Amino acid sequence: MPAITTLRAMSSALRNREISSVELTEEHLANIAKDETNSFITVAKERALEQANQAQRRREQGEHHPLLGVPLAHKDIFCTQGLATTCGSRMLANFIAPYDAHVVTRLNQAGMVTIGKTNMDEFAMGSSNESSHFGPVSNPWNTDTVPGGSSGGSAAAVAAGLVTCATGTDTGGSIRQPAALCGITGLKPTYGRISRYGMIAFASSLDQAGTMTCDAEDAALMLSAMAGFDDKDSTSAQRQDAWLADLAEHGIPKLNRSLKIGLPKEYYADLSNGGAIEAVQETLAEQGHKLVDVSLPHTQAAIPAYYVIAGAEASTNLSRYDGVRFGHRCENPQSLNDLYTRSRSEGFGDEVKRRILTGTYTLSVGYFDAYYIKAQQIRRLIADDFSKAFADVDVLLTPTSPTPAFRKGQLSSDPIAMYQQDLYTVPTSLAGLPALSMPCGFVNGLPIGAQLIAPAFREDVLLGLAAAYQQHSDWHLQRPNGVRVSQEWEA
Amino acid sequence: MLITLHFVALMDIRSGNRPTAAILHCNFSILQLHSPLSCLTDPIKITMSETKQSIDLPHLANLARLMFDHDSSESARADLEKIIAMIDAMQTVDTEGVQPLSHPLDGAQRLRQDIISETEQRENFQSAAPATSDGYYLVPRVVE
Repeated sequence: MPAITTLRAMSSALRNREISSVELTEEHLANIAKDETNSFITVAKERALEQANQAQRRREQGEHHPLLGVPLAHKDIFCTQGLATTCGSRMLANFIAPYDAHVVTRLNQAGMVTIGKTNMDEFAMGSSNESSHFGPVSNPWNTDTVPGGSSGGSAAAVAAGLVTCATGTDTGGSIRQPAALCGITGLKPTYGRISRYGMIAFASSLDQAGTMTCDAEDAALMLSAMAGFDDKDSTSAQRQDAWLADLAEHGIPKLNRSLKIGLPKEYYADLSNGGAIEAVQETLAEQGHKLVDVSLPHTQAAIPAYYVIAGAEASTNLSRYDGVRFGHRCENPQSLNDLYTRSRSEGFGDEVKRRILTGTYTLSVGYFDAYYIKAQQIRRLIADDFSKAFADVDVLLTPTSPTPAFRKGQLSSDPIAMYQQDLYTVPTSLAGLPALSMPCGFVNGLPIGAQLIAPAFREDVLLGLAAAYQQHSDWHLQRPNGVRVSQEWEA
Repeated sequence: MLITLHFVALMDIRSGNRPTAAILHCNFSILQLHSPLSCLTDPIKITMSETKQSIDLPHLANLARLMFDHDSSESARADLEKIIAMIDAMQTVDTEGVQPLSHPLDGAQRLRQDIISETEQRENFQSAAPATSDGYYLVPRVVE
């Protein structure tokens, strides 16, 4: 097993010509060929080597972007022109995207090498990666357990050292929860920070792309390339944040002040993770930050409101899969209705059908006010809870998920139990706020995460606080089987 | 504190009849979450109705253009009933006078100039289609 390094270490090795992008890509491909976690749906061997060659030429011509020539994996929800984009579904098993997602374009421009597409819950609907048409992913810390979801393949691939960085998407926790369960750092930026163009839609008012990396500094490098206004996404945010423009060159801005960190009591009711989270609090207090108790009183209503809104948007978004323009088409359709019904019934898995039915139910005649409008009202109450808290504190600290990784099959027959995995992540999604999960300890040998939540567009606070914490802890450097992430390149 | 119960007549809505002002039978137990949240002190609690509702699955499946065979239909119905019961817990939150929030940051839809910004890519896009002919998508005959 070759040494696992940070993205920055890999980047400086490329800059110092200690390794070429092609050699690095070949190493990655060789490691992925031996992968036992099922993290990848597609490995893009030829394309990756071609991109690595291009990156090498660009470097020879004097370019030196920190991401130039670094291999990465894309969650298989991002459209990649000419490469299979399955979204973890039989519906799109044969879909070759005719264009690139904005995120893919941006990372291609920076010179990153797409090594492959990672496994995920079907259409990003799940918290365990067990709903994938391409089989479950194993958590590298214990292969009997799940990696979390829906970005489970990206999280497992980074944790197993197959890549240093991967893209993910987060609708209700799909970056943060798998990051926590696999012991890596996951950043879900503010809604609108990164374009959704070419990112297969699940719930459009919640979906947000983000990063899965070893630590906060690596996340910042990825964010610097992914973020920015895109006129092809009507909800893309137009922002001029000086710190964001400086990220690639100068790294995360130093937090030259003491922060007031809120501890929402509703997130601390389950104390099975308590010891590790308390240790994070102590470390942050030692760094001069002030910790105070706060309350987000509508937290408990977030899960039902989320499953109404996400279901409603999913049932609408997924109506496009009709067997006509792309995706699975049934054999010998007898009528237009038969074409629609059989193509969809064969193409979608059980969890996707559950969400579509939930959305169809809550949006149907006579139910709309009682469910969809009600859920949107609760959404405002939840957003208001956060606004009130941020009137007094700079950032919130919570556990990322109620439990560490659970066993495969443990929750898959009980959708309600699975939905409760999202307890600490969906309120932030409903409010569109940025949040980051960072490794903070172990329970029974399995990693757990601490979640930081900031006001809208203050990813700089999340990254700054996480980077300061990670300078005084090494949870993020620990990997399965006693392997440690190296922050220096070792030839 | 437990807030005012604010039940809409879900039973009637669900059976497809016009909603009435009936108050449903409900069980005031705290929603059984799989992490023990019952030790919370004064956040807004949500409660879950235990009234079993019968869901018209064939109707919903038809609306969603999905079909289920006998066995999968029973499990789909059972799962959906559980999900709806979980969702119904939010009816206990007082939202009187609260404006619905559709964009998470309360943003408005940006409009673009009405100018052509896309080029014609029929061939490229139809390369992903399962059945086309002469630039058209093929479907079963609709008009005899």
